[in-house]
Amino acid sequence: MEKNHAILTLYICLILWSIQSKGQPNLKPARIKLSYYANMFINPGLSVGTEIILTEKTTKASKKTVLRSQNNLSRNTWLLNGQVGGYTHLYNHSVLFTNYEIRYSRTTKRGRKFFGGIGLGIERSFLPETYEVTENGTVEKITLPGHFYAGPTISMGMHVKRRFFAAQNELFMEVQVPFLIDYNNTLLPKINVAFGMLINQKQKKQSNEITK
Amino acid sequence: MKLLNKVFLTILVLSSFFIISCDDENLSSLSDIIYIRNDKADMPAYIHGNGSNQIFVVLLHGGPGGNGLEYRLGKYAEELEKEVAMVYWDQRGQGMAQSNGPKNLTNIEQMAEDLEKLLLVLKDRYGPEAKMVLMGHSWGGTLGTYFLLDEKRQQLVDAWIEVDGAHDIIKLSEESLLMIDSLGTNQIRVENSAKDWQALIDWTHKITPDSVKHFTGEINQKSWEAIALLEEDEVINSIGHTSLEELRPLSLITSYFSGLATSNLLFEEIEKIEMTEQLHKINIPCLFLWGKYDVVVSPQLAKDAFELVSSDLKFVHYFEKSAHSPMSTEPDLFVEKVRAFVQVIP
Repeated sequence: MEKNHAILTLYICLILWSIQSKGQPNLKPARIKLSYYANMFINPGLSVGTEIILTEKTTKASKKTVLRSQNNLSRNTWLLNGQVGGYTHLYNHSVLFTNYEIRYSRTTKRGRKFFGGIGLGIERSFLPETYEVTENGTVEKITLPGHFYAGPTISMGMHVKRRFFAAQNELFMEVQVPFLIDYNNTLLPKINVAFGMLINQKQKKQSNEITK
Repeated sequence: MKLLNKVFLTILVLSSFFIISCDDENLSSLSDIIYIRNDKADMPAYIHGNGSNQIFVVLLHGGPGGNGLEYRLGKYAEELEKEVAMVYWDQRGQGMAQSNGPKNLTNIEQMAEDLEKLLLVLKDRYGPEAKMVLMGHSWGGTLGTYFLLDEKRQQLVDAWIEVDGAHDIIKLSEESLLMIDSLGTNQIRVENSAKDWQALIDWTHKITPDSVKHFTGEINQKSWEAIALLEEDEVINSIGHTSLEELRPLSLITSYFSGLATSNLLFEEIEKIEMTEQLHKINIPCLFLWGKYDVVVSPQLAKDAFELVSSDLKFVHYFEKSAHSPMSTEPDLFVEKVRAFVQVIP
């Protein structure tokens, strides 16, 4: 069972990596995300991911709105988000995870960007010293003890544009809730919070489709 | 390639977090967390206190659906840890235990086997001469009694402390009804929450002796209501405020959801448990500690257990100002009784 989970994780990672590295013509360059990722608000961790824009529709704002806002465009974007990371519960376990979500993002005419997403994830817990009693009665320490769990994830959050590293990048905050299936015979929700930055890669051409 | 490097770097940084436990070789101030794996479940045991006396009190938490560390919140735990090593164990499917095994592994026999493995690991870790004392509270009393009824398993244990333990659910429910009736009548006489007690008494009169086994859940709920009334009228001590510091290793959401699922899975099996007739099989030193006003698990069960176990060394004590958790409502006296008992264990 655990081997199957590991193979599936690796497979999904390779597909995403392959899509990104081949630079599929229909996809815009991936954006890299780095974040501090806290489980249940207090268990610290890190995550790194990519965000690939699948479709983007931009609407020009009316003159009245332009006067009040920083930006004269609003964007409705569908994204493919993938990330890997981990966190540690300082007392009894650590977790490595990866998840992939389809996200809908809306950038308002005032320049605020909100998103929500749904996807699938998988995680592997790592436990501290773990022992088992073998069939012949001896006690043995287990190497890399832990469990694989998989399940759907949902997320929501917001981005704020900031100029740093000589480019227009974004700071973001998101809440991600993975639901682990068959965790102690139940569906276990976890509440994870990420604070990080999204680095926009340079694009050769800006080809936004603008509609009125 | 840059992205791959970043992923690799992140994993490297995260791996540094995994060094999260360390052996404390000083037996007089143990603070260890180990997991025990058995049949697809990994269960944590938090070991705290003074192990230099080679006495390990393995705490079997209540519920089902509780967790070991909630028993480390009180003053009694702090005091006991000065004398003995307390082992706060999260049972299968509860607390921070982890599994993704099949549901049919959540049963009392499996949990007794888990406990057996825990004791073997502790003996291996701290030496075969280490004395193992089981202390079961409420549901922990059910599990502990079930474990000890097996002669081979009983040999792994040096002494048994049962604290308001539910070793006979049918009898417990019958006794709860009787207690609500008699206590309620007394409380009405002294004008303590008379209206509420009358409502409880009226409810108990609706349950016929034959139908008790169908109402164990409701009887349990009404018993807690009775205890709340006793606490409100200061007949018993209140549990009071305790620090949540010791709960830090616990994720409350994980513990809540896991506990709820496990409790539901075990419910059908638990409500049929009757072990009074087999208590004679227990012959190790025993201490029964009960709250005099425990409406949930009547002191009658303590009386039965004290009379029926075959042990040469056995003690019983009823706490005058306590209900279901004397360790929290009369901590000093509780510690005194446990301390005195562990000193006479051969």
